[in-house]
Amino acid sequence: MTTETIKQEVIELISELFKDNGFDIDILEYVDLIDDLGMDSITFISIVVEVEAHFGIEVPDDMLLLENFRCLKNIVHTLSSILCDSN
Amino acid sequence: MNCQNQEKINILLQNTLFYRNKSRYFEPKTVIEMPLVCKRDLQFSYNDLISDKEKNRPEIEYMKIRSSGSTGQIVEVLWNERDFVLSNLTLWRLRKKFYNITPTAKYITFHSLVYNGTQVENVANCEIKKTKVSLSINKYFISNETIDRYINSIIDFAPEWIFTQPSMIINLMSIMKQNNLISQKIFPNIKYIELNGETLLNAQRREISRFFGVPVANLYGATEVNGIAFQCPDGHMHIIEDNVHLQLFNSCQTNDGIIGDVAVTSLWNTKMPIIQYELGDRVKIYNNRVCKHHDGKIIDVLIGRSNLRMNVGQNSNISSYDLAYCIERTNTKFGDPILQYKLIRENSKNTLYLFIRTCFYGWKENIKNNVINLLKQFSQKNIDYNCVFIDEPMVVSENGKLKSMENKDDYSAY
Repeated sequence: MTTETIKQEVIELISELFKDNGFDIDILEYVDLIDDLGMDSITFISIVVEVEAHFGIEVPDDMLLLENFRCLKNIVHTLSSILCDSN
Repeated sequence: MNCQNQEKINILLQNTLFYRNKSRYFEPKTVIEMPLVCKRDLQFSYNDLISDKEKNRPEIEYMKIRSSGSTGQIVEVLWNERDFVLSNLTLWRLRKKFYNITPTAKYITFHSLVYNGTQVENVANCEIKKTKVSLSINKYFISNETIDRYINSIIDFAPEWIFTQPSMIINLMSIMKQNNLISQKIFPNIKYIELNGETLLNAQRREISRFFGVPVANLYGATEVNGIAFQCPDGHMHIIEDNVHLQLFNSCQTNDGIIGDVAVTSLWNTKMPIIQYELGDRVKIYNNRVCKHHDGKIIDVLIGRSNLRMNVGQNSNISSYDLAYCIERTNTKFGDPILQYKLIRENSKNTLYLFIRTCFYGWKENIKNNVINLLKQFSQKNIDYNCVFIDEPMVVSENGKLKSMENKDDYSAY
């Protein structure tokens, strides 16, 4: 799976999660989920649960950090590394 | 327990004064070698249970979680927020996997307690509490006369699932039936119900699922460690093995597993490590049971608590576990008629009243005789039980949960 594919699939997942926030999906690449969209612990767990279910992975305990999920770039990087390890 | 978790727990054992003291004269290599910890330890050795590096953190940096006091003892456990969130993540993974429920799915629940310091106040101050994902209604305010006040709030909120105790949902069902409220109209978006905090009989699970038209799952957990086991759509209780480690003591082998009293270890709490903590419950861990929904160990929670006993006279006593066993045996024999039950000992007259609520009207005499005969076998005495069949949902205790056994000064007040 390429990084670009992962990115597009994550964008879809996160857009669904934040759909009630009324933000523009096009800016997702540039926002900080915590500072700009107010990501809290519920949203953090939601993102983790959704990406795990979608990609068929389990995020290792030591990678379950807010920092790894605070922006699209970090999420993609985290998932790429997990998917690469599992391959 | 895998090596990684064992290593994590070993570090916590070495870095928490309470456990260092407990293992002063030996070097435990594994968790199971540690002595058991009980509720009294959490109450009276509170400060020693905080791990060394967490001791001087300011209060704002951690969470205090209090138990409901269903055993009469309220305990308080401290958590770092990250540990608490990730401990709950383990349960959310299963909710998503089994029922496609996510943390952003709106739910309705019912509250009853508010704490003033460490004291519990009987009635919560607020009627309705609302967040982005939850609507919580005060249990004591909801009744036949007041249900209309809450219907619009529930419909507007449009919850996707319900999270409460069996006694509360049974009470709600009764109110809805009496007011001709159709579940699909009040809860059009509901797709799942999760029950916790009390025994869940098969009869209850079936009736609730039938009424609301959705799957019902049982969550076995403890405030001290969060989720312990979770029920899949096929009815199997799966241990949440990435949240807790279960150890059995006072155990015995059966054909298909091992039955024993539960000691639980939290795999997440680094602030106040909970290691080999006695829950007072008895479970059966199956040897080779498999399930298409999930790998890992499957348990049966043997309902009731082995350490909660009632004096039934003639120098005899029975535990809530014994009582629950008699009820379940009777349910198995008669096709799950018993929906709720409660044994009350009226102190003033030293008389026992067994209240039973069934979900169908036949066979009452047979049901009564079967339960009482089994109870007599446990006490090995010819004790008199006055069996009373009731139609209304049973009254919960002050903590909002239904107790299976109670001593009362005057049973008629019940």
